[in-house]
Amino acid sequence: MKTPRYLPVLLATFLTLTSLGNVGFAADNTLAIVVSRDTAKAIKTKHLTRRMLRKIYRRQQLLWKNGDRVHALNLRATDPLRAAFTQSLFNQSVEQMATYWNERYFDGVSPPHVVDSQEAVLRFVTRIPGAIGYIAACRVDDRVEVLMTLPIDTPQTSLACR
Amino acid sequence: MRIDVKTLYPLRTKIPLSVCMASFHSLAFLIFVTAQFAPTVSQAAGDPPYRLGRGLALGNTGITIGGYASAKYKDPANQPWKAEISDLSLFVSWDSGRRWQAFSEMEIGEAVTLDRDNISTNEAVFELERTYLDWLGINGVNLRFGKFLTPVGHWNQVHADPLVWTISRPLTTRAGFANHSTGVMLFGDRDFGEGQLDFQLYLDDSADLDPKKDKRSPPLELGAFDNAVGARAVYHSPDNRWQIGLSAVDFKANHLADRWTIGGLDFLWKHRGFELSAEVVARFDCGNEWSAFLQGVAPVARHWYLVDRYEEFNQLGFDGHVVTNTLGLVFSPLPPLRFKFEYVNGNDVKGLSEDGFSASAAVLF
Repeated sequence: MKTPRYLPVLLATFLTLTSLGNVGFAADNTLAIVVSRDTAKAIKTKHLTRRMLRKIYRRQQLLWKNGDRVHALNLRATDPLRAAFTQSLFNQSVEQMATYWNERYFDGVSPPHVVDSQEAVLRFVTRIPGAIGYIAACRVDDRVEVLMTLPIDTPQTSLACR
Repeated sequence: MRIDVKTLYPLRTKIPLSVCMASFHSLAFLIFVTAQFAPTVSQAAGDPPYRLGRGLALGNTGITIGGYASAKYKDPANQPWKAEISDLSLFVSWDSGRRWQAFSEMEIGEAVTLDRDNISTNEAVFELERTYLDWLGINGVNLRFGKFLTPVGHWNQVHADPLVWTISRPLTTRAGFANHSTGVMLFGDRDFGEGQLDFQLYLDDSADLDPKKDKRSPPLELGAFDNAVGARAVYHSPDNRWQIGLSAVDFKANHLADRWTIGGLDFLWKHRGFELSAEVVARFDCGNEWSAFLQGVAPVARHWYLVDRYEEFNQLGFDGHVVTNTLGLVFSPLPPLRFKFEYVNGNDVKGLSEDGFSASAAVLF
């Protein structure tokens, strides 16, 4: 049987469209863990593991390898991106994490700093050496370096990308 | 050597309330003066200066002040009722922004008591619960110098009323060892398989370093260590739902003639509001002396939890075999706030268990 001439074109078009769709889908379901370019150079770290990120966001790791202080950033407790981040990293809700912070507070340890928006995360990490935050992958720009991406189950970042 | 509970009561040191208040005022003044500087990282981030249960951050000093308070009503079996502001505790923490951190907890215990006949501040006791300086190492190994909570079991290190589920404290968590140590501690964490291992190694020399050592110890504590060497390791599961801890400490306590070695095993599991915990403490160096409890927590409605605890105490420093059942109901509308109601029923031996009804309100501020 002879293959129709237009079949390769159709196939190519289909593959292109589906791959574009996949890129969009991935960005909508991914958080980027970012630091400033200067911080990335200073801390000599190009990649974080999930375990390291957990320690940073539990404030069990307070120093980078070079001895600089880690300044972890959270979005507000009501921000859906914060809920998605907490669920993905700790498998817990923001409210469940409050119990953990109560116990740490008893030892004088405060939770990560809180900022209002993803733009505030970008500004803060650019301004403060050692700062680290999370934003929707689609919001990454040339001010920051991505140390890790974190998949999330719910498409919360699709709202955060608009 | 055994200790009669009654002999411990007179050991509480009473410091006049005026002295306590002067200390608080001096501290507040110092904090106010040091707070008058430029913005900190916290302020740059837009952190609110005060959050309930997270304290008040002061300027660029790196200082945060907070604390907790609790009020209790007790109606013990065969004794008159009593109400008290039982703990008024102030935390002051300091973070250098680099490798040094400090923490201090000062407490006025039984600040105000009320019974059928009068209201009084006579039982107020000022305590320096903890004061330490931490040096942070890069590889998860840190050093602590000062007075800290003795790392035996889980409860003793998180014993504040707003953090625990019951008003009464298990004997297991206070009877067989001094609740505070003064000296140096190496602590940190290590990756362990897929989970995490936290460790604490410490040397205590309270006899030389803590001149006001536990003379004001509450009843049922051994009093301060003279000296001690101890360790604790806790394994956290990869999903952080459960942890298991091992503790050991060899010590000479100031009320004991001979040296003791005790060991502890503790377990904690948490999931979706349910919680199961247990602790066992036993003497290694002497026959059948041990204490253990098992406690369960279950959510029964939004913000409401049912708590049940069974404890057996067998001779650990005090004569007697005590079996205690504690049934409680806890309302926690916000994470830093707990209202508790409980009934304790045990074979009360020499006042070792506080049988009867009690209620409390506790808040981290």
